[in-house]
Amino acid sequence: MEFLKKIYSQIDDEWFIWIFIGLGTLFLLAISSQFVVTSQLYMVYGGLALFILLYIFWRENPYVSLFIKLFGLFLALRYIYWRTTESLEYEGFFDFIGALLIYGAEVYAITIYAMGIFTSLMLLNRRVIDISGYKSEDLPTVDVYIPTYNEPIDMVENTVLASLNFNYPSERYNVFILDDGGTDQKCNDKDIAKGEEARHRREYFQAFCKKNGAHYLTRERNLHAKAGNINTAFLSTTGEYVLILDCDHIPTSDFLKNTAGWLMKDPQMFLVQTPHSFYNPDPVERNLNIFRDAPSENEMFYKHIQKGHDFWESSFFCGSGALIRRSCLDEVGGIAGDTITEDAETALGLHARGYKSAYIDIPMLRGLQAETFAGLVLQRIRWTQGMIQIFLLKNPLRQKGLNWYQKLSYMSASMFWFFSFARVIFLIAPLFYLFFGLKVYNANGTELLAYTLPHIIVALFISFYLYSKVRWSFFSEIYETALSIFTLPAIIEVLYNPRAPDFKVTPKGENLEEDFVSHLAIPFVILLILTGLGFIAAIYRLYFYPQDIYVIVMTTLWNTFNFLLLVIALAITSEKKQLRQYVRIPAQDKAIIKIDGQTFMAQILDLSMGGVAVKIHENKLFEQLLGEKEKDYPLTLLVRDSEQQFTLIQAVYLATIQDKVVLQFVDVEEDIVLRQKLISLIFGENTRWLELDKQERVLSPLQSLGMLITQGFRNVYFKKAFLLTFNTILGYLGKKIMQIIRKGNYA
Amino acid sequence: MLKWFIVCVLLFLMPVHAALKVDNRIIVGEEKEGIRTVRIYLNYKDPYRKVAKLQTNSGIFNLDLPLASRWVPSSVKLHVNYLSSLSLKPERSTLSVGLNGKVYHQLSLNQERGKDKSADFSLQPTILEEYNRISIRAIQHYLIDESMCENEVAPELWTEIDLETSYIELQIFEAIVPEKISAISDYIIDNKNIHTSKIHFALTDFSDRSLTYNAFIAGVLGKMQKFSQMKISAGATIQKDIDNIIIGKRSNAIALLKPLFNGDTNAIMQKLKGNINLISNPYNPARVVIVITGDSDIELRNAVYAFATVDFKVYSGQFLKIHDTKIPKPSEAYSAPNFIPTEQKVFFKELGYKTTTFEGIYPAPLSLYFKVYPDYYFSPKDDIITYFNITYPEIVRFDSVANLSLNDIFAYQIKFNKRQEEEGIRINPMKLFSFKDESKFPSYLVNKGNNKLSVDFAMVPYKKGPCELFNLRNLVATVSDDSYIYLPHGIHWVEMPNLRYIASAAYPYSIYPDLQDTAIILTQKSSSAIEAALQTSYYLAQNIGYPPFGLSVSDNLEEHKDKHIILIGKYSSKFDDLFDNAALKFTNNKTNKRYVFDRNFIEYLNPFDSDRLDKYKRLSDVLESDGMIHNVVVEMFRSPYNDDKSVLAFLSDDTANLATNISDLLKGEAQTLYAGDTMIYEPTKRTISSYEIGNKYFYGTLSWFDRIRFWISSHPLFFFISTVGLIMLMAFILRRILLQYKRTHHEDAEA
Repeated sequence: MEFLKKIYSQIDDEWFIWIFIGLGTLFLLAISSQFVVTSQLYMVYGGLALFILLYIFWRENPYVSLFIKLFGLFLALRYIYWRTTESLEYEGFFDFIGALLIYGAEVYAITIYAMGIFTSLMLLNRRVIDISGYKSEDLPTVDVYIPTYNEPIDMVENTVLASLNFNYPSERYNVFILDDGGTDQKCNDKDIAKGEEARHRREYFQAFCKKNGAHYLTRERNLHAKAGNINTAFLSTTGEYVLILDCDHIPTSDFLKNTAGWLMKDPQMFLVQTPHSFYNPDPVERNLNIFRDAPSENEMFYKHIQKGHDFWESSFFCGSGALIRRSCLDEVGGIAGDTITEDAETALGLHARGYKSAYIDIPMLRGLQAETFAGLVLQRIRWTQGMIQIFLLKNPLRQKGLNWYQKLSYMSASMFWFFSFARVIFLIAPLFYLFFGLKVYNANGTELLAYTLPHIIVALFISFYLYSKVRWSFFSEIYETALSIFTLPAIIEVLYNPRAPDFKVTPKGENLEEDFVSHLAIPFVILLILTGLGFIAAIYRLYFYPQDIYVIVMTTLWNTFNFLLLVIALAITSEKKQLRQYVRIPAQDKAIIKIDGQTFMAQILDLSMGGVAVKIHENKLFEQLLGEKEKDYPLTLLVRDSEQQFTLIQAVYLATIQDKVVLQFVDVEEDIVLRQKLISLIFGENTRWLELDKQERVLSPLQSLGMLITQGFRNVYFKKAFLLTFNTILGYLGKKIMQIIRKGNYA
Repeated sequence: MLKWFIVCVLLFLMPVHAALKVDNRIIVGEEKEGIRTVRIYLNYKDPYRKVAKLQTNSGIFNLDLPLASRWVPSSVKLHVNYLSSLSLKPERSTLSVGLNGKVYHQLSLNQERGKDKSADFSLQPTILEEYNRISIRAIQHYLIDESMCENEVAPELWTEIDLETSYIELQIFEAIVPEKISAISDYIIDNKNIHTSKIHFALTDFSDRSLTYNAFIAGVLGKMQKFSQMKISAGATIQKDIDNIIIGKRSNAIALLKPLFNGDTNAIMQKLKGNINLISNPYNPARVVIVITGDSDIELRNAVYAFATVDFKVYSGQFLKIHDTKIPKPSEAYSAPNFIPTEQKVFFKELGYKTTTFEGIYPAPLSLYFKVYPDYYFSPKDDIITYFNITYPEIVRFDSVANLSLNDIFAYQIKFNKRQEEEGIRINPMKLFSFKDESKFPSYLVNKGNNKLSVDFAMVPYKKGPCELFNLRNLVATVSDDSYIYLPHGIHWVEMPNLRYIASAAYPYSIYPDLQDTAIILTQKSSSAIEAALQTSYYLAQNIGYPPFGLSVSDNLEEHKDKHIILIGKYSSKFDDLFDNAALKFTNNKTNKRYVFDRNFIEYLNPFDSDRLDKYKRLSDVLESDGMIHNVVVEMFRSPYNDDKSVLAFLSDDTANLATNISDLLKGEAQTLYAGDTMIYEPTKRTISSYEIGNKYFYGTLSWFDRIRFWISSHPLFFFISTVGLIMLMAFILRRILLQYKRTHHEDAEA
């Protein structure tokens, strides 16, 4: 053993690469070997048994992790090799088209799967570099940019206030509102009301900035959207680094302290990106009622994929929450604007010039997600179109300065957004057979057992193994199903004209005052009806073509899965009302409550910008005292802020729920100082949020599917959705008929 | 239950043990007053077909019958045994007999209500042509009243012709063979011969060269005589009652010819003016002597090889002078003409098919025969493609089909309707449809060696109502000869030894069609062994379709060690080394057993394996039986001198009958019984027993890498374990590479 270890330690690293290439050749040969059912059965079911054993006993072992990833890749490639060489048969033109579509979708899915495995080979958990030892004058100057367009004023204010609260020498950084909602163009809008509103916005922000020590910047015209806004600001500011924050992204006070170090350490570093976190649920979470039960959608990217990108030196700019070296941006003429995902495009350009990036997985800002499904769709259409623009106009493979692994990473990031094609095909494919008898997937019962079924199981297992802590099984399918119908036309638009898409701002801060079904539910209702009819077609086929039982059973199972996905997607479009203005976060701080001169010690249970829930230590006494008071009775709350200084906050008593006393802060909207205090209290330190984000629960694929189905059926408004669909269709038809009648009359 | 189980197991374990069919399908009688009676059974082409079922209201059976030039018929009789359905109405149902498209006889069917019937039909011998088609058609009705509705394809409409007992009988006298070189192809090697003819090789000497030349000419005969057998004899003298071939120097040939010409050397010299001479037999003008000769070795050699290349038809003289002969270059591997190539289209016309129109509801099937090298291993994922170019009129209804079978296994159905709807091209105003059907069926249906592709049409007419009569002539479909078959890419790899491959494809000798890597080794140069060698050469060349330019015949093993060896004769101890790899070895020790089993085979036996013990016991019994001296042992095993070559041994103590016995074994009838690696032919019982007792080896042109893959393919568990091992190793190395990458690119990035 010692001898082997000695040999191992003496082998040159380069040799390992050559050995790996040699083994890789055998790996590829093994993929293309042995397409007899017995071998395949041994391979897939033996592999699955091995996976389960390894998962149970050694899941954390890094070697086991790599083995599972490579073996999963091996089985997936074997499957697609089999599909390519043995199961692509067709009888007629339409069979051919159907088979080609499914095959294309599968090839795409496996390409993305393989790229995902590559990105996940090793994750980089980058540390924070401590800059506390630097003197103030040695620290770089930072410009904090908060671009805004039409978002609510108070939303921008909160972000500005939080930014002014950074634990960074105040003379070394400036906060700028980059207001595209108050440009000369907007102020002189032909619509008088809009012009007035813009002028008011500009004046208000100017006054707010002046009062609070921030700076207001605007420009003449709204050119090139967010990228143009930022690039214009470059002309007026001089900071060495630039921190870009979306106007709804409230940063924690330690943001600059935690991020500046990497730029100071490495002059080749152009970017330090941090994860985006949100304090409200996205429409999927809200409408399925799973917020904080399941990992948020963005966790997979920020807790896993971006770390993988960072390992391969390709973590990219995500538009906000990133500290950037100004000199690098100057070198490339500022933020890029050829695509509508200017962030990734800019990072790609700088990586191609040899600059580096870093990603620190500490959530240091909180933002708002799109509240409605329509808002989410709008946002995803922008991301989709932007990333596909990158694929088409700035294809990573053609970027000469990138290393091969950076190219692969970027390809993985951009190609992912073609998922709509695959998902839509998977949704309608079973209907090709059930309705029209098209044989688009040529496999017999044995082959289904030997190739198709294990491929699905292995893919599920690998996905579970890789991502179960950041995304539960089938959640990707749900998001893809809900979005694909809408992003697919957007992709086609970009493919047709890559420079066509415009930057559209995601609406945020919307209130949903009552339950309703989004108009976007209509395609899902239609698909659901078709899928339902598919079951009737299956019975018909089973009766008249009993010899095709394997294909019918497989297709029906597939159709059932699609049916469930569509029900859940329909539940996502069943919008639930959302009136809560502020999000409560759990806390464990101590507090003192003063009421009528009496003091009570209390424990904060949760708090928000609107109020606080506390548990009073001497509860009985407090209740006695309160017994004589009414609702809205004033009191004072004394809490420690992030600097451990006591802060006095005026509040009123709202209610008592069991032993929880709910208090509401007074004059939050109007009192800027109070808001600053609360922001400092709530957003002052990221540890409070870490506790909130802690998500350790892992569901098995079956549990996850069960939970999604349950929530889907519980939260779907079938009746409303169907009525909406029929009314819309009838309305449309009625309109058309009336047009025809009118034309007839004129004629 | 247990008893039945044991019986089943025993049946399963028994070696293949089958008897040769005794009766011949073509019987040529003894000559009486210059006349012979030849009886040709109606299933002479396919002895395993027992009956022909004539169905529908017009069923037909066709039999192609070529007439050898040597046969001059004086009378022709067709004897038909048949049975008709009870339902047929004799008033309207008839059986007619036609020849070459003309009806000569007819009779009423079912006159005696379902009894077996026989009928004799005489035909004028003068109406027989070189190639004839005899048609037996049954016109069948189950209703008397013509105005009543009748279903043309009703199951009641049938008549069965018993092909086993029905025959055509010719009284023939043999034609005088003209003394012209062209008679070699017109009479001696006449492709119209359907019976086994006889030829005698009169040997000028027993040298290796002479034997090789004789074997070569025997091979040329085999190559030219494509369909029928020849019974070859050999000896140091000429035989007066059959055709003779003499190959040798002129002086030697003259010596051999003397008995025919009463020692008149001048007369003989007059007949031997050329290098290839055809001499009429003075004792029997229906017989000839072919003399291939030369004054020098080179001249003789040129004459011998010219025999394979000359087109005899165009020469009307009595002799042919050969000045020079171009011997073809050694042939490429896998280029035998009788085998179809892979990865290229083989048009039906190349397989001897001519554009044919198929008529009626169930017309006679289209059958095509082709050979495939037994060592082709086709991937299960690859398909055979057949491409049919079919034309048919619109009257053929949408549910008409053509069923494709490969080796009598249904493989694909061509549907007329689909093509009409989707791909039908209207080619003229008469509403004819022409479509091209590309059908695929799995490659595992391909036999190693002989294959038969057949197409059975079932055509139904469009009718407006149930009682409407239709014109049967409208039900036609033409398959043109530019239709083709396409075999996918195959790799050469096959488990050996397997005697079946010799029978069906002369494999492995056919790999090089000129037999350049094959030697026939005689244990001793007896006439019988030489006869057997010539018969073997005839058989191999006939199977391959190419003259054996590279074949050697010798009794000296040393010179031919690196080749495939075909050992013929009585066992001699000088070949002990050759039998190193054989499961069954022989010994000349007369006091003990005359055989021993290979040590590997003995080790292979174990007391718990009843199957192997049973084999051992049965084989021992046969080898020790009293009749063993007459038996022929056929054994195949890997050559001890060259791993890529095999040894095939035909061994018998009965040297006198060795040639006859081997000839029996090489007949088509026996070939179907070849199996395993060892066979014992018992001529007295006319049975063949085959065994698999030898070591297996693989033969082919796989790279070492493919060989490993092939081996792995039969060990799925090993494949799984080795793949897991490979990926574990990859994971191990990948981690080191990743850590190294991390060290260099993210030195202190992590805490």
